[in-house]
Amino acid sequence: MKRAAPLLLLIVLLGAGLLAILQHVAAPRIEQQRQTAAERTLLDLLPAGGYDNRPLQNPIALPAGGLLGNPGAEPGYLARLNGRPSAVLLPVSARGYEGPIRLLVAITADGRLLASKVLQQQETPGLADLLAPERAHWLGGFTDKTLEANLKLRADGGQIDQIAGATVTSRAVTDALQRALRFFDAERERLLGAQP
Amino acid sequence: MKRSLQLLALAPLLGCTDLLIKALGIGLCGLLVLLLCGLLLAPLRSRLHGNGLVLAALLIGGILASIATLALQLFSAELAGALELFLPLLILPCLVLALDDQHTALAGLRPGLIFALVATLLGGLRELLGHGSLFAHADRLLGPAASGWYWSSGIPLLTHAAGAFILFGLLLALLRHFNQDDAR
Repeated sequence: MKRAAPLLLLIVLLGAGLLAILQHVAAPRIEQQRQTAAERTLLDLLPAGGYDNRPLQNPIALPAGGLLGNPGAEPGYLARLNGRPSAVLLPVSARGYEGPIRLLVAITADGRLLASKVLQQQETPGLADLLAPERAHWLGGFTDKTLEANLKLRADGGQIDQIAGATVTSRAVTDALQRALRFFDAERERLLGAQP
Repeated sequence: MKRSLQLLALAPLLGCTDLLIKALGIGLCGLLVLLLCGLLLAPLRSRLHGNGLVLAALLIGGILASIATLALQLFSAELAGALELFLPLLILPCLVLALDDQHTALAGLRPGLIFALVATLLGGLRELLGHGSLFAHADRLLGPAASGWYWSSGIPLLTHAAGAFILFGLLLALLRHFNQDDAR
């Protein structure tokens, strides 16, 4: 065992040196990969060919509270295609049954709902869990709705099917989508005019 | 000792094979780590014995697993994030290599290949039956042009660790059934 010590020390030093060098060389590329991955998770709301700028590089400052109801100031993002605005990504918060629900909503330049996804929620698992795969279909049902569309639930005399057994959650989400559309309508010039 | 180490090496095999692409990732990493570990251990065998050799294998395995983590992060942050937890466990089969009495340089090739093969098999079966898709998220490893095939539904149990154990048990039983004569 005593004879082995120098050899083992040599292995440790060589390995540590090699790792340090590799880490140093790879760091910028790894950071870039991490950023594109983070962008992909936020931007998968937009269709693949729907933008050619890097929306996350130019956040639009949005106020806390107000129509969007965000507890803190969170940025929105503007997607452009061929230099013209194609869609806006807006963060919206709502009060769900169990706690706050945070959504990211994509609205096209002409005010149609493109897609929405839930960033954070605590709704009852198995009943109203908005992150469950089968909910994606329900959220997809709002595509192409405009401010004029009737976004009321059937339970409230409207046209939209609520999630069975989760009317409060459903109402919170439809209300949040409607608020996002109203916010876009009110702030359209500022949002679409944001400098690239 | 050897047997329990081999058992523990099952963890990455069952833990991250719910998607074929993840299984391919861990399988490739396992193959490379085992192969290189065997190559590097071969010249040390004449100078180190017993505990010294095991310690050397531990160090080399750790270094190789760290390099594998770095290399994966270069390719895809998502895949690296998914496999992060299990890559350090690849040290365990390296320890088995040190305890083995095989003295050839390619001692790591056979276990590495078996590891990669079993991972791919489990990954393919679990994704096909569990998620109802094949090569989902393949763009993480094979470039943006690769997109998987998707069907409608699967058996969600198989996507969890419990399902992995059940499937692995069934595969072992199948193997035993066909190797019955050898076992006796």
